[in-house]
Amino acid sequence: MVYAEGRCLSVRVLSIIPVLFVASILIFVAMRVVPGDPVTVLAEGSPLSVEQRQALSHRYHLDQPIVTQYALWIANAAHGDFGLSLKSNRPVSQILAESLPNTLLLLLGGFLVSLIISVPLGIFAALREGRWVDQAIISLTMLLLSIPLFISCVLAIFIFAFQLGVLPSFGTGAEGGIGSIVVHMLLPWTTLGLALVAVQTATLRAGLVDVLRQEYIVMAQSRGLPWSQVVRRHALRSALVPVVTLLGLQLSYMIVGSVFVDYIFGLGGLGTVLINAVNFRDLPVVQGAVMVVATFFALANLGVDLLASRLDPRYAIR
Amino acid sequence: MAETLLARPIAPPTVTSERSRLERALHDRLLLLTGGVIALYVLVGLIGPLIAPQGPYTSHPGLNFHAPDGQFLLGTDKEGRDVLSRLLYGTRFTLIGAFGVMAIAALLGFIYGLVTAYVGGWFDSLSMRLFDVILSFPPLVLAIVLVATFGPGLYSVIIGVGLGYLPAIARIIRSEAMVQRNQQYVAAAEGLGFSSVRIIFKHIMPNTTSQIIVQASMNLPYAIIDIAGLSFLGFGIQPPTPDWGGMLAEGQRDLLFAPWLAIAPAAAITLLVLAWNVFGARLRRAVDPKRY
Repeated sequence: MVYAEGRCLSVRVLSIIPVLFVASILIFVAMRVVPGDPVTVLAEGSPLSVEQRQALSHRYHLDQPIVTQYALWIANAAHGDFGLSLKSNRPVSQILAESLPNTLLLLLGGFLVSLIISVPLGIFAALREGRWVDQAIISLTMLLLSIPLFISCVLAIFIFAFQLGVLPSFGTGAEGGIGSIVVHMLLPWTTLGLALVAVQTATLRAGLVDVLRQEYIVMAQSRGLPWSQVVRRHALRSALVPVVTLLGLQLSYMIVGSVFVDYIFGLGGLGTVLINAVNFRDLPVVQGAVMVVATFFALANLGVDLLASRLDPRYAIR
Repeated sequence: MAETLLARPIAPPTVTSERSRLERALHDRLLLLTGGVIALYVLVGLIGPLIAPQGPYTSHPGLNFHAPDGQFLLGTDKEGRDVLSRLLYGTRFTLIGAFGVMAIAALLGFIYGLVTAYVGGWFDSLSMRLFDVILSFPPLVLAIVLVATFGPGLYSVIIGVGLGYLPAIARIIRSEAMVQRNQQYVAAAEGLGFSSVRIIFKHIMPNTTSQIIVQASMNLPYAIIDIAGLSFLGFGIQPPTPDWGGMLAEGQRDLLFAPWLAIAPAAAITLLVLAWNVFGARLRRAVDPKRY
């Protein structure tokens, strides 16, 4: 058993590598088919002498064959060197390293908020299946699902920062200590969290409704166990498994969502870096940021997979 | 609780014909209501310029940031342009974007899924691995990479988002087609010497169309959100062309003193997405009641 589990783990971890390898080729090729001469793009349109052009193309290895260019790029990227930003001339890895903590802060907090809201809501709805409270909760989640994040962020800023003036609308507040961070992140966390609530609530509710119909629940109840105990100790345990599996699907949604939340609230995370880099056509930064997102996404998916197979062994057999 | 659970009658398995499905769909009021809302949006997308009170670029100097009133029902923006007119004109770009994404993702995904399931072998394995790679990017990030490459614009955005949705749809169609492929009628058709093209498109395809309709209608609201979101970030249609995402981004800048600029496009997007979400869920139930 231990052997099989260990082997399964290493196969899963190794399976990431070819995916990331092909992804890196795609990103690299995408950046090289940019319309127009890359040297002109690098010079941002300012006129260059022949010597300057040669110096630039030599510096960025543009005078080498494309395969060599890729090999140089991927070899450097493998130890975290993505070159220099065209705009600020700073190392791309440094820019990314500065922004990553802010993105993680946003993702973790947002996920926590989504659990705090969706778990009680899902249980509440499942226990009142078919009644009006249940219907109301389902309709509410459908509404939440239909408000795009960039709209709920603008709405949240409008109501809580501008109309009521109770919460800040910009930055992470990292300079003011933990209290300031929590106050600054409250709106970003809540908007990102609410975006995840809909699917989580629906999944938990459906799972719990399903489990509550099982015979062992009736059995537990007929043994005289209090209903709250039956729900907590018997039903919830198995109803939470699909919520964890769902996390894998939610991840992509969360990462995309965090790009918007990050950008609108000016949190200075990966999303802000990526969007600014695309706007300035700062290609080394775009390459680096997308590569980091893809790697993060692959690793997080792997983590969810492993967690889910731990909780439900049937999930591992595929 | 337990009594109600035990007393619940078990529904007998029902056989549904195409006709009764259609009849049930026509009796579903929510389906009809949301379908009506969507039809209204499409109508506005088609004839928006005809019913708009003013041109989308007509500016009224001195009347900028005019709050909504009888003359300007939804107010004016920073250049004194009528927000209602811009909203009506902008409908078509959002719809073109969303339908364009589905045309790429659903149509290509449909054909690709059918072919790869029928052909199988190395082509199938290679396709699935390639899809793994594409799926290793969140769809919107893929679109952002394309925008960084080809520059902002409606086409970059449509192609980027469309390619992001394609693998998931192709996979579902593939697994549906795999089931059909092993049915006896396919073996019979092969025995009769029909060509692969004929078997794929004449025999297998009709049995997977309900699935593609469901997939397209389920994914469309997300396509609307993605298209509007990308133009909100400034990657889609460029101003001054009226576009909901772009209007919202402009409105966000002046949110403090002219909130109507953001509220109008935000409401237009949300209502469309909500209508489509409900419509998709109801349609799914009507088309495939056993599974959902």
